[in-house]
Amino acid sequence: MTGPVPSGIGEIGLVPGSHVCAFYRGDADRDRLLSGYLGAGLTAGDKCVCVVDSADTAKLLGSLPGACGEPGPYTGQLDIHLPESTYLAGGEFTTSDMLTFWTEGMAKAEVEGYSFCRLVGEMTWALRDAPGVEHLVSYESELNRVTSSYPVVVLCLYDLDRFSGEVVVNIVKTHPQVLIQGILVENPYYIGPDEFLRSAPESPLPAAPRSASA
Amino acid sequence: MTAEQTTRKNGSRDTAAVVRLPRRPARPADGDLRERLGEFRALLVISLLMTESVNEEQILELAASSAPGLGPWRVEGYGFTDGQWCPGPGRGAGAPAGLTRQLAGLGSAGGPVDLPGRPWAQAYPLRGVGGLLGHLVASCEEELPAEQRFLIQVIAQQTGVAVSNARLHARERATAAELAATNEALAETVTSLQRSMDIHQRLTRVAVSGEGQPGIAKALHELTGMPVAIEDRYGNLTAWAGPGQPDPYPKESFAKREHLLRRLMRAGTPTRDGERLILLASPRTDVMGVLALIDPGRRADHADLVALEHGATVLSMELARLRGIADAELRLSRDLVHDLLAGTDDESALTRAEALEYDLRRPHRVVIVEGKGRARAHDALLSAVRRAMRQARQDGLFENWSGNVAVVTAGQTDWEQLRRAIMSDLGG
Repeated sequence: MTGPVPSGIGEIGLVPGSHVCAFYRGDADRDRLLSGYLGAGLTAGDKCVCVVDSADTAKLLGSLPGACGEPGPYTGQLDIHLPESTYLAGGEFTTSDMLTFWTEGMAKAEVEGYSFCRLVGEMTWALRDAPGVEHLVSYESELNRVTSSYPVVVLCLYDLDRFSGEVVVNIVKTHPQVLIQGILVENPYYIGPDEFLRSAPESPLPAAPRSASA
Repeated sequence: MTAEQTTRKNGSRDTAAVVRLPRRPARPADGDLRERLGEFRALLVISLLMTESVNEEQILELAASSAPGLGPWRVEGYGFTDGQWCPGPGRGAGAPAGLTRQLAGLGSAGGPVDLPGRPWAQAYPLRGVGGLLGHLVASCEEELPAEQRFLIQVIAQQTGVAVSNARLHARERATAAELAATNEALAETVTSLQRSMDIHQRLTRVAVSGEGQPGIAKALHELTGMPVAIEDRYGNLTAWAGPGQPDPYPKESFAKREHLLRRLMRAGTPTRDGERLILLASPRTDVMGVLALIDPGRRADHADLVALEHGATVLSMELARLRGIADAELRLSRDLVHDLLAGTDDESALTRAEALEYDLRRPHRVVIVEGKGRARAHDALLSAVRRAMRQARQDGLFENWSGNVAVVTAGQTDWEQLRRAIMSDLGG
């Protein structure tokens, strides 16, 4: 598969290997993005893997209709995880562990017979005071290396009401595509992982979160 | 187009807008160029975010917090033309000393400002639809290159537009809210007027239709949805409409009733008495009746009070009409007795008796009842005689006659029994 696939968000199509940063405001906006994106994947028969930041959101996604229109829960097509078992497994965030999580997930999907994967991560976990969250931006940069090698599209969800402008700027710099207000902004000049890590080898999380409640 | 830097003379503070474009690097490194272009993409996203926001505080925070991602500079804060200062992230609440004065002198051009402890500081104008809103004040530990200054200028321009839009939106929302509130108040007024008209029409219809006190009670009940009681001044029920009529109807003691009536007369408006809202119907100074809404849930609203007041007016008119008729009949009856005893104007007497629906063509006798000081007033003796005759089921005409009471009657009765009844009424 080389042509664009429906994103499920408006009329936007995504080419395989896309790593899109999606900005939203508030839970309702997030749920709309998640439902559209994953719903399109389930309809198309894609393997869908998502990490959401609350059990309530996980429960909501569990009721999405599957590939044949049957009601959830699914038998393997949609994997729903929480940060505690993914981004923050072991109590801290490490880029390598998380990249391994995604690559193993995609390899497993291939073994299961899926030809395409659709990944999504709700990034508000990074607002927690956990070790390693300062490597968020470098992780996002490294993820580009992974996505370019697999039949996959990846959506990273950032809540504008909770992340600072500095994070927004750095996330935009490290994502080839940014989805905002229903517009997909291409960034052909995004800073690739090699360049990013060379220019900011110790790149910290650019700013403290606006809301430290998460 | 060749990018060039437009400068102005050192130290001058002219008001012309100055747009500084970055100098074209002689041979920009590919990495640097791509980084600059990446920053412009980020600026585009920040600009989109600002445009979609209608919260001024959020816009200012977004612009200020995005600065560290774009370069080594920081936003010290925003100085507005109305003198307000909004500090940037991690900055103190108040404007740095002397800054407000410097900003006021810059006008719409912007320019360098002196900030204690900041080797480089510059104010960039925030422009909106209505003109200059204020300045974004940026600072850095070192002199910034033209490319970085250009980024700040773009951020300031976008911030100004977004803030201007947010203020317009806020004003529009405030106007819309004000209009909605006005419309709501108008609708309430119309509804209230409509209900007042309904009340007026319904009770006026009752007043002219001769439905009497039961009609008034029924109309008031239908208008308010509450049970309605009409009582005479002594607390006797004269009409009831609606469910839950007490049986027997409770009656207060004389003293308590008098106390209540005095309270109502002083108030002059609907007054709550336990579960009831009550109002006097007193066309003159004397109390003739009491109108009550039974409202245990205390849900009577303004319109219900209007209906009660209007109902009391109609009841007053009705009671006055009844009182007038009674007075006229009494006066006519007395005049008739007087003329009969005087033996004058027989033909006229017959006509007036017919008007009183009294048959004077029967054989009559005249009975004189002497009070002999037992009654304190002539009217008391007259009333006692009238009641005794009524109890004896005898009709007749009555009048005070030289300290006594003259009775003209066609009836046959036990006169001794009548006497005892009168004596008993007068207290023996």
